[in-house]
Amino acid sequence: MRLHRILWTLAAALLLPALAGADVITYEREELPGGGVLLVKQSRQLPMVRVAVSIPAGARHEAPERAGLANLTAALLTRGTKTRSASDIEKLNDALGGGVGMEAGRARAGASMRVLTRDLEEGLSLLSDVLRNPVFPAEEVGKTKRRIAGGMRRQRERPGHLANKALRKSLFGETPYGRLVEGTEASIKKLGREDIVRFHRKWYGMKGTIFVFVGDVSLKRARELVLARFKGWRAEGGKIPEAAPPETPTKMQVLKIDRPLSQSTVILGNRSLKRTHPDFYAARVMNYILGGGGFSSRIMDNLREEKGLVYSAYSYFASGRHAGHWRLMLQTKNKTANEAIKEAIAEVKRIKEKGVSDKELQDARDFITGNFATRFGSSSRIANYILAVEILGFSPGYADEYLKKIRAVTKEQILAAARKHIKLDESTLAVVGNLGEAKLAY
Amino acid sequence: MRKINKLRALLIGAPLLLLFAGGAIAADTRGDTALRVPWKVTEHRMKNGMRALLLPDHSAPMVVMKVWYAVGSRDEQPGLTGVAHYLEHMMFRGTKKYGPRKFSEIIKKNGGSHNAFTSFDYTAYYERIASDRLELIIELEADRMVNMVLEKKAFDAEKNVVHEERRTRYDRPVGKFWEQLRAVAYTNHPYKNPIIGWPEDIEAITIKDMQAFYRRYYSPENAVAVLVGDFKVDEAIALLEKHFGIIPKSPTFRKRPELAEFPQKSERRVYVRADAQLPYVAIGYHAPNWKSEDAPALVMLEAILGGGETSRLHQRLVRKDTLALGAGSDYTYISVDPMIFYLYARVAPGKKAADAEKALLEEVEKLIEKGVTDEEFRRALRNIEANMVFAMDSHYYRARLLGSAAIAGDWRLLEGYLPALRKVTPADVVRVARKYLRHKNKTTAELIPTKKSRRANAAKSRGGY
Repeated sequence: MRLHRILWTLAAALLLPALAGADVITYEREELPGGGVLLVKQSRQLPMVRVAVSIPAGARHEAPERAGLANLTAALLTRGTKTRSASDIEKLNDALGGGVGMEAGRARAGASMRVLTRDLEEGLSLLSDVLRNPVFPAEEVGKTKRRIAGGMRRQRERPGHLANKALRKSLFGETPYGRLVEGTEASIKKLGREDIVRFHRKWYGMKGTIFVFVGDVSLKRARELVLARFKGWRAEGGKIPEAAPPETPTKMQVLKIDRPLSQSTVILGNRSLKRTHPDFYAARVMNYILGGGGFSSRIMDNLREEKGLVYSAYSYFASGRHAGHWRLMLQTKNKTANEAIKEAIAEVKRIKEKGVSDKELQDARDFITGNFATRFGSSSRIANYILAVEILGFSPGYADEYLKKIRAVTKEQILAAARKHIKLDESTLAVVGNLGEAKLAY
Repeated sequence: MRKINKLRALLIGAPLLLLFAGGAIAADTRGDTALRVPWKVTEHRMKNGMRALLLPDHSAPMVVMKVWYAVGSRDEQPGLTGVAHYLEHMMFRGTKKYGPRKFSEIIKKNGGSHNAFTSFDYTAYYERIASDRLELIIELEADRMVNMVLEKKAFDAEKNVVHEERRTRYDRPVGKFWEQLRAVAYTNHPYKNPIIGWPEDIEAITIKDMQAFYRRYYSPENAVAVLVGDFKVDEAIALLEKHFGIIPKSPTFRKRPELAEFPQKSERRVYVRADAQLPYVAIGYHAPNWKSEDAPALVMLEAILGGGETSRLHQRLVRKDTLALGAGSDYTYISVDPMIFYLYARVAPGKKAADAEKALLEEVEKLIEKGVTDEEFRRALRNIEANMVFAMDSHYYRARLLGSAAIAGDWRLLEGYLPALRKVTPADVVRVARKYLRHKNKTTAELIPTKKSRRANAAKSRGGY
C-alpha cells in the first residue's frame, strides 16, 4: 500500500508540470475493527491536532415525518452524558479552546475538534463521551428544540435562504435533499426524547464511521487513542428510509416569493449528476467556464464586468455521493431582475449550443490543476479534503487521478456535459424580491 | 464555488467578525511544558519607504501575499464615503500595461486565486499561488500600485456593482441595524460611516475624485507587503525590490493623522424598524484599543463576559433565561483609532428585547459588583492561548494578523499580546468594566420587526422561458 503510494507520487513529480497535489496531501489510511476507518495526516508544524469524526447518521437516516431528528440528535450530544453535565462539557470545551463542534448534514453527522497536542487525550475523551454516552436530558431537549426553531425564524430574513429552500423542495421533494437538515418548525415540535434516544442507538457506532487526524500526531498514536476510546462502539443499524424524488418536469418551474426588498435573489437549478459520475470532470471544467471561475467566468464577465447588473453571480454543481444538482445564483436590483435572468439563461444556452473555445478550455484546466495544491493552506482544509475523498469511496491516491482526469477533458466532452447535465426544461427558477417592482416575465 | 460570493469582501470590523481572535505565542498557564510558537518575521524597508513583512512556512508549496494600504473608510472626506472601497473594485479593471480583465486572467491561468477587502483602517489585496510563481503576483501588484487606469465605461458599470453589493449587505434587517448603531455611536469620527459608503455618496463619486484619492494614498510609503509561505527570504526580498523598489516616492505623501471621537456626554439610543422576523438588541461603549494600558484587561473582559459558551452573557441569556438565540460581546483590540465594545443579544421567539437588554446590563453590573472568579479568568486565558496556536494554522490568517497589526501601528504588538494578557488580574477586569461600561458612554440599538412572521407567499406558475 505504502509503496504503491510512493510510486504514485514519483510518477506525478516526473510527469506533471509545476505542481502535483499528491505530495501535499499524502496521508495514511487504516481500517479499524468494527468497520471504522482511520485517516491520518501527520505534520509537526504546530503543536495542535485537528480531529474529525464522521458518522453515517445524517438526515437521510431519519423518516420524512421526523424531519430534523438527525440534526436535533447531533445538537444534543453535548448537552449532558452519563458522567458529565452540560455545564461540565461547556467548561472543558472552553478551556480546550472551544473547538469541539457537532453538526448533522444530509448524509452524515460530524464531530470536529481542534486541540493543542498537550490536550489531545483530554479532548478525545470528551469527544468519545459525548458521542457514546449522551443522556439527552428532557429539559435540554425542549430548550434545544426551541433554539433550533428560533434560528430557523431568523433565517427567514435572508432571501438567499428562502430561495434555496424553495429550489430544494422543488427539485428533491420529500427526499432528505428536498428539505432543510433542521426540518420544519412543525416537524421539530413533534420530536420527543424517545425519538432521539432511538436514533442515537440505531445509527451512532463504529460501522461506517471515519476518523480523521491532521497535525501533530502519528498514525500509531491516533490508532491507540481511537481504539482505547471507541472499542466496542456499536450501532443497532437499520434500514435507511427511502423516498422518491418528484417526477422530472418537462418545463421550467417558476417560484416567486414576494418580499419588500430592494434586490431580487435568483436561483436557477436542476437535478444533476452525482459526484461519482464519470462525467463529473468535464462538468467541472465546463462550469468553471460558465459560472464557476469568478471573474474568469462568462456569467460574471457578462453580468458584472460588462453590464454592472450584479455584485455576485455564479454557478456550481452541488454533487454529492447520493444526490446532485446544478445551480446558478445571482442578486440584482428588482428592476433589472428580468434582464439579469435573461442574460444568465442566454449564457447557459450559448454553452449548451456552441460549447467552449480552445483557449477557454486550456485556461480552465490550467487553473483547476494549478490551483489544486494551493488549497491546503490549513489543517481544516486538509481534513475536509481527506474526509471527502473517503466518503466518496476514492483511494488516498485520488489527487493524481483527479488531476489526470481534469487534464484529459476535451471540448467535445464539455459540450456533451453541458447538454446532458444542465437542463433548462427540467429546471426550477426561484425568485425572492419585490415582485411589484420586478414585474417578472417568467 | 461558494467563496465567489465573498469576492472583494468587505471586512466589517464588528460585530461577529473578530479582527483579532488570537495571534502569536502560546505558553502554558498550567505550569508544564511551555509552548512557544514565535513569529519568525523578517522586516524589510525599501528606499522608497515601502515595508515588507516576510514569514516563511515550507509546509506547502504555496505562498500568500497581501499588499496593505494604510487607507480605508476612516480616511474619506465627508460626501465621499465609499470611495476607498469603490477604488478597490476599480483596481481590478486594468492598468496601462495590463488591460481590462487581464489581472484575474493571468493569475487564474497560473493556478492562483485573488481577492481584496476594504475596512475602516485599510485596503488589502491578496493572492494565493504556487510558490514558483511568486514573481508574477509581485509584478502585478507593483504595476497596479501606480498604473491603474480609470475608464468611463468601466467606472460606471462598477458603480452599479457597488450599489448591488451594498444592497446585498445592508438591505437586510440585521445589516441595517448594525449600520445605524455605528452611525449613532460616533458623532465626529469617520468610523460612523459604513465601509461601503452611503448610497448617495457612492452615486456622487466622480472619476476625478477617485483619481485624486488613488494618487494620494497609493504609494510605496503607504503600503506594506506581507508574504507567508514557501520562499527564501533573501530571494523574496530581491523580487520585491525589483518590482516595488523601483517605484518613486510620492511627492504628496503625508502620514495619516490620529482621529479622536469627541468624548460622549450622554446616553444614546436608536430604534431600527425593519421587516425582520425577530428583535435584536445591542449596546456599544466607546473603548480604547491596543495603544491603551487598559486594552489587555478589556480583552479579558470581553472573553469573560461574552466570549465562549461558558461566558456570562451566553449562560444567562441563552442557557438560563432562554431570552436569546445567541448573546455575546465583541471588542476590537487592533485598530488605528479606538472602536466600540459591544454587547448583543439575538432575541428568541416570544421574548422581549427589553428583557434581553435588561439581562445584558444586569450581567455587567453583577460583574462589577461581585467580581470575576479565578476559575473563569484562568479558563478564558487558556482559551485565548489555545486560539493563538490555532490562528497560526492558516497562511491566510497569519498574513491578515501581520498586516492589520502593521497598519494599526506595529506588527510586534502580536508578540506582546499574550504576555500583556498574562499580567492582567481579575481586579483589572472589574476596573475596566467600571471605567468603560458606563451608562453615559453607551449607545443602545433595538431592532423592531414591523410585521409579524409573514408567511412565504409563494406563487407557483408554469411556463416556458
